[in-house]
Amino acid sequence: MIVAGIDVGSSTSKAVILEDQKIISYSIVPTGAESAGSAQKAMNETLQKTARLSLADIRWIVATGYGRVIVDFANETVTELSCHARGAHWLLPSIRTVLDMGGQDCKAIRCDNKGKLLNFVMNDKCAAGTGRFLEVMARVMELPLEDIGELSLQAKEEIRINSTCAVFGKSEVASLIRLGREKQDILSGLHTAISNRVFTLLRKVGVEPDFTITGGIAKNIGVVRRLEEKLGLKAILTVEPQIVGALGAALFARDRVSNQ
Amino acid sequence: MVTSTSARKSLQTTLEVPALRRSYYAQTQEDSKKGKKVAWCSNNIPSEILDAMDVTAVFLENYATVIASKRLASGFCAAGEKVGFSQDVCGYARMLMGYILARDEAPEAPYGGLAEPDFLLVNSYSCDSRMGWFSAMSRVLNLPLHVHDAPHQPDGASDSAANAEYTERELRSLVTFLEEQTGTKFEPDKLRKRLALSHQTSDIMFEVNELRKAVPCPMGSADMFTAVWPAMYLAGTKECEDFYNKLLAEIKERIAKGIGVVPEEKFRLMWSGIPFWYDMRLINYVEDFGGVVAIEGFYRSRERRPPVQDEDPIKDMALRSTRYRTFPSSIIASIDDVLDAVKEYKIDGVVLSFNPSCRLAYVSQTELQKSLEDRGIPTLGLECDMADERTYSEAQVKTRLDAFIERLLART
Amino acid sequence: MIDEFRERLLNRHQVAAAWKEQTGGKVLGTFCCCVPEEIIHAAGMLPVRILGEHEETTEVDIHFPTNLCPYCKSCFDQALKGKYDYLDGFVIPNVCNVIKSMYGFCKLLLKAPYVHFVEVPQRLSSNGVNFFAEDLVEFKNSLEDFSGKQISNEALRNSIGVYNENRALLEEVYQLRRKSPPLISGSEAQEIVISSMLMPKEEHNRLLTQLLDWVESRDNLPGDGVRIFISASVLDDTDFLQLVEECGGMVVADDMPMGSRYFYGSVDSTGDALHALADRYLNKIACPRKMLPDERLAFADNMMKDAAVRGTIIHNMRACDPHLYEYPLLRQKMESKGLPVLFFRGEETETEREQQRADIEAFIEMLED
Repeated sequence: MIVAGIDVGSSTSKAVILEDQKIISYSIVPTGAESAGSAQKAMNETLQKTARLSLADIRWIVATGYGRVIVDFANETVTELSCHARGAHWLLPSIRTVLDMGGQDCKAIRCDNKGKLLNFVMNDKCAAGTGRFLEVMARVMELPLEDIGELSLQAKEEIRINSTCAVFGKSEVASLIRLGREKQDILSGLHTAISNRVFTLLRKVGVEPDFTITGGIAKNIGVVRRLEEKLGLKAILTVEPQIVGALGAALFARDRVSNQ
Repeated sequence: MVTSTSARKSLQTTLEVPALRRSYYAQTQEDSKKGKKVAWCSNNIPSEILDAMDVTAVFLENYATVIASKRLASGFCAAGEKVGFSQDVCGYARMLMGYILARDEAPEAPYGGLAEPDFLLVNSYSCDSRMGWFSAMSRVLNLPLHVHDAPHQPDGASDSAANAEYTERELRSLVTFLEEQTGTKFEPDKLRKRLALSHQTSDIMFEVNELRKAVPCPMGSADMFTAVWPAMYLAGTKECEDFYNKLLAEIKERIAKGIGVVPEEKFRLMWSGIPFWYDMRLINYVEDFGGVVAIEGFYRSRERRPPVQDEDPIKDMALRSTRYRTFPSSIIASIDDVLDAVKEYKIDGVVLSFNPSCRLAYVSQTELQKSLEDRGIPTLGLECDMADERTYSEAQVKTRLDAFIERLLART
Repeated sequence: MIDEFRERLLNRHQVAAAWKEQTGGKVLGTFCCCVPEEIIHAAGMLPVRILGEHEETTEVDIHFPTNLCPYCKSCFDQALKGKYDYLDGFVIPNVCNVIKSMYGFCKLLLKAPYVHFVEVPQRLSSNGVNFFAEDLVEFKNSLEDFSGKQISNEALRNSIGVYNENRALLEEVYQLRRKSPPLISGSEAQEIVISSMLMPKEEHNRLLTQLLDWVESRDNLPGDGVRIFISASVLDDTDFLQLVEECGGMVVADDMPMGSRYFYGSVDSTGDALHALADRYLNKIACPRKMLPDERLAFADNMMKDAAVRGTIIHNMRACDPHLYEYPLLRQKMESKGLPVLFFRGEETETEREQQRADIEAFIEMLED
């Protein structure tokens, strides 16, 4: 039985195809300006990778993510909160808490021992505490995004950044650069600030081990280490953290088909 | 023409409110033309006293919700911000300051605008905004302002004679002010009559809310956020009493026939805090999934009006308001209150609105939410300004609601 | 000499804890200047003003929402972190929505043996003074219960005397700022005022007397910066005023609760003591939550009289409704007097310093021309 899940996020769109108990294919494409188109693209690429399947072979498709309602070829939608819980748990059955930090929002999710959504707390109103915060800062500091996490761990001096706002943070960082402060030190302050913000979200939802991080931020070692320290827990990371939502959606699709 | 953002109502009686409201505003304009004294009031100014002294009361906060429900708030708010009122402060205040100070910059005012005031009345004891806002208006409009105070009583009801006496003196000061402004003498009997009607209405309201506990819920918050209007602004009038008698009869009929807001209830919710006036359809949204917002926290009438405490109507009002406190005045009371509602109305989950510009309600919401979750009661926090639609993103709110509904349905 | 005040401000927790140990007395924390401290003093207890800190809040965010008075949140964060564990209780006045709510939150989340709410009226009136006086009887009674000692009328009158002396001395200190050049800087003056809220009044009076003796022969004068007037909501330390001074300004007069509003206006030495306290604490504290604009602006006016002020800085804490509503009227008043205005909506964290520095420097430059 073949099912699929599509996760249309603000930066990337993902598709996952499940055949019985296995993930047989997946793709990640940039969302760009047009969400519907990117969902199609992700689906097509994923199908192409199987080299044997077409859309008609898929029994049921569940769409999730910010753009879920405009995926016209999906059969139903489920929120990314439930999908992340489900997907993460399926990959790592000991998982009970998921932190998903996307480009534009941040979600702290609790699930039970079956991957069912128990509770969630979300920040989608404010850039501080999302991937966007670090993107903006990386730009201000003229550094590649993929390097800043590692650099943040190499600080020699502690700089406290107290900006509660990405806007104010930008000018604060600019001033610190002007004052000749070391980039690692500034990055350390930024990573600490964002981790503290995220930590508040986690506290509100209540953290239960095991704990995992999904979304782009899972690749930022600076944030991962700081959160582990604050939580006193090691983060168990999935191999491909970006597809967790789409995987969860596919699992919901499989549920639907099994029940029919 | 903006598509309606009003909630879908379940009761016929509720549908009468818009007409009542329109005619109320039209009446205030007429009163003003006829030379009646018009007072711009904050909520909680006792309208029975004004009515007894033939003063027309115009409650500004309600006008603000009318503007908000027509999605005109952002224009008025922007005008208010332009003349210096920070985005941090109450959306209602910003809107009205925009209306007063920057009429040209603001959109066209509903109902042809507000009746021109002769003086202003504000109660100082509830929220900071009202004081700041009304005193700014007083200066700008160059009109007399009377400030009406009462004790806070954070522990709730109090037997303190000092509290009752202060409340009484403040009411008498209000009366004196009105006598000076109108040149007429206050007649206790007129007030007594209106208070009697007010009491009756309160009792009916209480009955109504008791009946809402039924399963299926016969009347939810989608109706009550509108249906509470006459009690707030037409208190002490025959119109008001008639309306609630009708409402009560309709609810009783629905219960007799087993008619609920949704035919098959899958979950019952409570709404804590002020709703988002510019999109009241949100309250209906859960109905598509078999849910109902059965009860609201903010305007809930929790107990019957206490019995008459004294023959002197002013003394009576003072004693009743100090000896009986039906609204929570501290976080401890708020927590007890919401837990009580959850139990009484068989609530499965609570939606808490976080309106950053309504400091009074906002300050408690985080702890309230925590107290519920700590006791295993599912909650959802939604953060938007209650009036300023610029802060609203339907997609973001829907995602949270969808996830909350998924969470609730997964429990069953 | 000024260091004496600064030290007590910086080491306030130790100061209070040491007092407790030495005297065996109780320390009560207050949140706002409208708590009649004299009654606490007369009960043999030490009233101390609770202050926040310039550090990230870590404990308070699961209890309070984001867009709320940063001062209150920081204070409560400190309490949750145990920094105020030496306090025997809290006294919360009926002021603004957030401070009012502290009563319930202190009872719910902190384990203080004593939490008392003072029903300060929310408008200025003679009704209010009478009610306030009666409520102060309740306050006095509760302190008697808590301390196990009666508070005599003499003790009350004595405390009022001590506090009035403090007020008179602080007014003299403020006079020194009005001179040209000032003998005391703005940040020094603020250190002096805030330290008064954190230590036994008698000792503070002693220090003030010494200061007034010493200052005339002071050799390290604060300098001749551009003369500035500040009107602020809560600035609970001297960082901001120091910044203004670093930028070439000199705050020669102020209108703020952690400054002039704390001590201006004495308690009537005649009549019933509690009534006299009620009158002073209701009618003489220029708080925008209660006092209407005409009187409020008159107070600000009075504070800058004879100070030869060149410009005004208005600093309002984010989400502080009473001050934010007053702002347009206050600004208008300043500008009508020909005073340029610089406005800050503050967070009171280190973040904003560099941004603020740039703005203040530009403002000072403009005033110098």
